[in-house]
Amino acid sequence: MSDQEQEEIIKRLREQVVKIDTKKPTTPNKVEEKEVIEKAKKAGETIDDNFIPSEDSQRT
Amino acid sequence: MITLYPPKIAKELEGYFIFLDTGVFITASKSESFVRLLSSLRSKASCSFSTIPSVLFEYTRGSETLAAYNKRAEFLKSLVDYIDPMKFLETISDFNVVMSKINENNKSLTDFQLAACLYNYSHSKVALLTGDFKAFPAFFPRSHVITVIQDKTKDIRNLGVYQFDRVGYAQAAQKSLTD
Repeated sequence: MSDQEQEEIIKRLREQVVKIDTKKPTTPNKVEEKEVIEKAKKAGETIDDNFIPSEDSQRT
Repeated sequence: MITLYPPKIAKELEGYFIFLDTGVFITASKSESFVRLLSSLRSKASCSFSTIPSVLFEYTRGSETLAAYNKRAEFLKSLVDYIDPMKFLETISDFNVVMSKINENNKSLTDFQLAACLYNYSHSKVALLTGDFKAFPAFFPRSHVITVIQDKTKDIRNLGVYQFDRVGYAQAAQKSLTD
């Protein structure tokens, strides 16, 4: 794989990832509760129901 | 399901800037009533929420696909007002010294960084919401406990609100100087 191909793959991945910019506010106060709940549910679908969010279990 | 919290929590945290630990996002992903509580703290008590990049890393860890990663990142973004880049770390060397001794058994960098945020912004109304009840030394007293019953599994999750005690910290710092 050429350098150019490698860079192209990385570029495409970066384009598709949710942008997080620590220099600016994210999506402050303007987000409706309904929308946050919807996003929470979608995120929750990707996490095992039996996953224990205890820091003791996450951080060894 | 249900989220239980002290009746005066909104009044007592009014105007607070609250840092959220990884367990908060995981719990919120599994409990609509908990998201409603956070939303209400923001709208009715003028609370702001923040987190740090390592919490984003922990919360998205285990995402099996790009879509799953994005769902988690989107939710985290929608819940917080700001992700703190923590550029202040090099200015709080005293805190490094105190924590290196007093909190030596906790090796989590995320915990250290969240604690550092509370220290750095301690002249403002700042707090930390976390599910880890053993991570921080005594100069981070717990002011509130929130109990969340997860929607599907009905499992119980406890989260604590922690603040920074400047006097307690000064005493620990004094001990570092004299030992």
